[in-house]
Amino acid sequence: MHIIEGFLSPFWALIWTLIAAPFVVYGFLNIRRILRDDPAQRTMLALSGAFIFVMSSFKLPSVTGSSSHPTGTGFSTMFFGVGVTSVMSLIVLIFQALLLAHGGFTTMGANVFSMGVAGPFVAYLVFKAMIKARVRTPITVFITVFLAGMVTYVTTAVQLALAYGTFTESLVSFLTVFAVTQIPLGIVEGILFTIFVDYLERARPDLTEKVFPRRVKDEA
Amino acid sequence: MKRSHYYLLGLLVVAVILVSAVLFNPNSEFSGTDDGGGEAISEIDPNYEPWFQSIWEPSGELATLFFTLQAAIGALIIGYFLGSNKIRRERREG
Repeated sequence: MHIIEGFLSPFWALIWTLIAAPFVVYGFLNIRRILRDDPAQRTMLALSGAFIFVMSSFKLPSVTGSSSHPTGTGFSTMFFGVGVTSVMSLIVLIFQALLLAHGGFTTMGANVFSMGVAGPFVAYLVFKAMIKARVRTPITVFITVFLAGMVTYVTTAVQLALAYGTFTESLVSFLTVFAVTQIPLGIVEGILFTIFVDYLERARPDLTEKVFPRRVKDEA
Repeated sequence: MKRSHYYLLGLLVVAVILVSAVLFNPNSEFSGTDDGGGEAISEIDPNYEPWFQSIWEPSGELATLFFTLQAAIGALIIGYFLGSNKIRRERREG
């Protein structure tokens, strides 16, 4: 989902940085509060970051020819929301921009917005609605994780389309590059997180019950 | 179906997707959609010149190393968590 270094004009680079910045600041304050007041949540915080690191390094060939990678932001989104996820994304994106020339510093704002804000934001809204409607946990996890990744890629396509050519035409061509290759990866990512959260619910209910309220009959 | 069967079924689907991805593109390079975005830009606006270049770019080998490093950092944390859970359970049961 990275936009390459130098491929957004200074104007758009600035706009996306300004939009993403408040989320990162909010998330940073959130993380500081969690570390100070809620040591029990530290483990989950570390896991959230770890999953984003692992998942976003999975460069896999996808069916349409080029290779592509998942974002891994769904887990963090479910347990900590958008702010924290945007900070985690920023860390990974700095790592990749600095060491891998993957993404870049002038496009950092735009990339943080798509990966750390837009994807998690949509996924979080849907996640909350599913929790409220008491949708079963595996389905909730799968859809949330899938959405966090997909919306990120659609957002990247929109960002590029806004910056280049006539909007609709460009959007279609960027969407075919990004989103279509992303669907099989979204499914892979969704399945892996579904299994992990299911494991977590049974092995460490103390870590999950805040987010996934325990149901009496579920433990069959 | 037992829970472990669902896990196996899930992992099977993952394996099928990954294997078929490799089968469909045996020559896939370690570059990807990110560069694809750049190519699409060149098609739409052939005159576009990136106004800022990466400070430095690792060679292919080095890039693979850093990608592996990134995955290793994450995997280490997840592995630590799984291991400490196991010990926690054994203490409780034993």
